[in-house]
Amino acid sequence: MSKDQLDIFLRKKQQRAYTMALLAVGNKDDALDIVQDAMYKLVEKYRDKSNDQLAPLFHRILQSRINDWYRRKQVRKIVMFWGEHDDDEHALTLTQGVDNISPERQLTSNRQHELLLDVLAKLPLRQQQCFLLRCWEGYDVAQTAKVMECSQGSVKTHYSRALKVIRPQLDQHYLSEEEYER
Amino acid sequence: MKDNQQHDALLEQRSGRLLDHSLTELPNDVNAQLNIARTNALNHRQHKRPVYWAITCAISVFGLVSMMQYQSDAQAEPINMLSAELTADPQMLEQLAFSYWLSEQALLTIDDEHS
Repeated sequence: MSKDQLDIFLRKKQQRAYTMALLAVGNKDDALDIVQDAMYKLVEKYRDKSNDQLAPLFHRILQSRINDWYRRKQVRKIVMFWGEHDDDEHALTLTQGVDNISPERQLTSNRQHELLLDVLAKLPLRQQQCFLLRCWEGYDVAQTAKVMECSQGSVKTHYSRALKVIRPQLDQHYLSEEEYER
Repeated sequence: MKDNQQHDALLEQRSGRLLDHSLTELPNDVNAQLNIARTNALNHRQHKRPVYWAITCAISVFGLVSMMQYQSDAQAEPINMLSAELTADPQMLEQLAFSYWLSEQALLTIDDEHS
């Protein structure tokens, strides 16, 4: 694949990749590092792959980098005993990462996507990854299992659990039938 | 059941749209940094670090093994020479045993004289 084609591919994926990483790690700088690492690895190792193969490979690398980040965080927790305040930091930095919104716009539809991001950020990592890959990236069960390096049964379980959490929370806020159909 | 599936399908569509919408709200500095990251990744295709690490590790391991081998050879050399001699000449072992007996006898004699 030529440099231009890779550029187009990464340009399309970079914002989504960043949002996925941000939801997972809750920190803007770490999320940017993870996306940059994933881009490096993709260009370095898989630049010869076809366009169809690139997207699953990119997501696999991205998820793997996110998992590495969690592993390092666990080690840091054990070694340094700094774990107690992480969840608060997560919630704070997540809203900072996507928050650049005028007050007028915040009142309407943005509140809904902020709510969704908030719900997603609170999901366990595997459920969150599964939901984003299936619902946002449009992968089927088999593709998601390959990207997440787990069984198809696990994907189904993670996805149904994620939906179970998301469904009632979003229903409360805006799910009238008219709004759905709009 | 069917209602639930429809409901979930709508939920998925809606979530997808909301997530897409969230991309339009990404701060400018994040977009700029993503562009820089992409350009860097594309311009540094040959990322040599892993090769350097592999070479450095290989040289270190080779050096360590060579040093250990050399030391163990140096320590084992006199024993190896003696065992080779004894294998070649079995009488030498008897002579050694005899000379050891003689030296013991000499020590006993000296002790007797002193007492």
